[in-house]
Amino acid sequence: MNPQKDAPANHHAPLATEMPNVGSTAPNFILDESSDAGETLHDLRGKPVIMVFSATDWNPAHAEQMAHLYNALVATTPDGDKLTGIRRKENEYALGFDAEEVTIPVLHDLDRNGSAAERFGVLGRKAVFVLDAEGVVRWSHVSSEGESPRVADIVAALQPAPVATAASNTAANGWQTNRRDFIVAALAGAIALAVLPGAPAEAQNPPAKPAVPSGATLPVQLNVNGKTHKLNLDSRVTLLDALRENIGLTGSKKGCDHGQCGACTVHIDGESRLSCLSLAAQQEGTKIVTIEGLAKGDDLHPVQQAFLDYDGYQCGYCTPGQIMSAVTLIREGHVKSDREIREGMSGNLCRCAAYPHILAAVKAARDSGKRV
Amino acid sequence: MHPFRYNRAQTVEDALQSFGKEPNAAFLAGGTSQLDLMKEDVLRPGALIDIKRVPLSAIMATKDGGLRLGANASNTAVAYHEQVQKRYVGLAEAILAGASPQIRNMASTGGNLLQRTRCPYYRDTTQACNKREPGTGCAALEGINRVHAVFGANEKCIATHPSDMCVALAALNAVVQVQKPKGGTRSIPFADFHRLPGDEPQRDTVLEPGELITSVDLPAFTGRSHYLKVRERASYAYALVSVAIALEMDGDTIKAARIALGSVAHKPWMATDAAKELVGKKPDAALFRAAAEKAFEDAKPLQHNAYKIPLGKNTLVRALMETSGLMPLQGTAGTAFASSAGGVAGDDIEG
Repeated sequence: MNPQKDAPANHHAPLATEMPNVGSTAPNFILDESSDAGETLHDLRGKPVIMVFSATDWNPAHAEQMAHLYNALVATTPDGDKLTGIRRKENEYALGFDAEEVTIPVLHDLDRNGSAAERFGVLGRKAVFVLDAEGVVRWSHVSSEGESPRVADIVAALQPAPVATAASNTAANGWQTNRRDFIVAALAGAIALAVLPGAPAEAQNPPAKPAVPSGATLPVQLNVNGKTHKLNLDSRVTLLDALRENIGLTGSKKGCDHGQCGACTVHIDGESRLSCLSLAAQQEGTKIVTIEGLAKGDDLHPVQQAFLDYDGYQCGYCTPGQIMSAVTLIREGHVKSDREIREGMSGNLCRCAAYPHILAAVKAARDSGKRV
Repeated sequence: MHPFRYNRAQTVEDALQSFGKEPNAAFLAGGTSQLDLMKEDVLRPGALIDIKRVPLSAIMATKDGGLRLGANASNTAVAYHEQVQKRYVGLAEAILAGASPQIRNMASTGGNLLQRTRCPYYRDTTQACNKREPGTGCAALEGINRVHAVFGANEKCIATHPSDMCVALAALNAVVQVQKPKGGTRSIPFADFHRLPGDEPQRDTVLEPGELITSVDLPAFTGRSHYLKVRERASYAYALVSVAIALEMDGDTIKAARIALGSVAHKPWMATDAAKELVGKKPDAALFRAAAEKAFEDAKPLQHNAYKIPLGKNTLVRALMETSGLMPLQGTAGTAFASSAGGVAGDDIEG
């Protein structure tokens, strides 16, 4: 179908301070005024675009937000459309369906106090706009300060999408029901749920839908530094992300996230392990100790004190992992010689190459006479 | 990462049942290699069956005088086990020369057997790889194939198997015990467990879908074993070439010998003919040199990996010299210091 032909007739540009109506052409603006490229919104035509004006603490790199998004997408996906995955690359989302992958540009974090917000008539407000491949507004959601959107409203707004017959292809609200439009709407709704205040909690309990295959959240109970944390996590969340993003213990560091650097080392049942290569769900019933759990109040652990005394770091990013490794190494008795310490610490990389001082610190802690 | 359903199994039956119910399922134990590849989108299971709670972590004596390594026993537990340190020294040396303490604490015995190749093209989803996506071709053939195979490869796949532990297990003639999904078990001799790429490079082993490794059994062994690994860093790096030796002596004569070569093929490569040359003879440098020549007789270098042939021969000679006592070990037997050719981290600095 030709979207140009089927699009509603009223394509006039709206006044600068007025919100563009569904069915009208979105006002143009330069995407990044600080960039020399001068790419404009119109340059993105040919693909649907999602625009998000947000406050914002939206960061799709965070596994939990990705989980909200995925849940919301599953909730808004009609029967028969099997969403199999969602990935983010740069300013695009790639949605996997059975045999195809659809990528959609998403303009996150548009300044809600900037000129684009003014042009879209949403100055100071949080909003989501969906434009089709022709640059026509297909859906919008605006939230006033202090007002929380209702998940049900958003889901309802997305409902006219699946229509089977050609005759009804152009719905009353101007919504075209081809698959890509539906996907965009679903994604927009999902982002609205995840970005706008109050929504995430609801998004964790989406209406029942056949989730295929479900990456849905599961309850996970973690014992960290002697405290029990009851979490509801996407099955994909690693122990490292759960510690940092859900529990708020940011001492364990994400260096490589692939088990190569050791910055994420924690103790699990008394052994040093890599939290980035472990699923949070796998750790139910284990005892986890992070760098935050070593000191007793203001009394530093002997290995922490030794790293301080011997300058066992420069930038400090690898230090929590180094210390966690050193503690178990000393406890296990693999610190009899310099070469044994070096070999035992080989899974912890230090980009500042503070190795001689790290070695000195480990030896000092070993010889301190204190219980490590 | 592709979404998946997470299931936790408590028993072997439980694990097999869950596997049968879930489409595109995979077992999950230590996960150190698996989760990494899932993050890279190389592996995309629809469900993970976590078998870490399945009671398969015991290491115990077998009736015929051997040692059973439970599939869930960690690499650390195996390497430092008293019986391994005493009777299967080469296995301890192989494990401790691999990965890092953190990873060895997580990695399981069964999982070590199933780790995927470190061929960089396998991990790069923008590149053709028959192992990752059958039928797409092999980007390594015309690419940088420095770390690839010199034995048993074909135009479909030139990847090598990355494990150190498996090379030692092959030399020690271990047996993989497997539970079949519909009941029953089977025993697979270690040398037959991994396969060459053939027409199905996506299959690393002869395991059928849903089959679960329950243990790796070491036969009784009273000889000497040893592992020698050459790598580009002093520690925490994959082997360029490695050698595992199992020698049984009769006085000062070699009664039986098994030689397995690592990082030269799609599987631990048994140098069977070379090992035969040793039987009935006294350990001797010239004999070992001849055996090494024999072992690499059929090696076929690629554009960038011809160095593996002289390196492999020299490593084999030295491993044989060390195992038979003609050359001293570089470090205490049963530690990484014995198995790391070229020393370990910091050796050139001090003590």
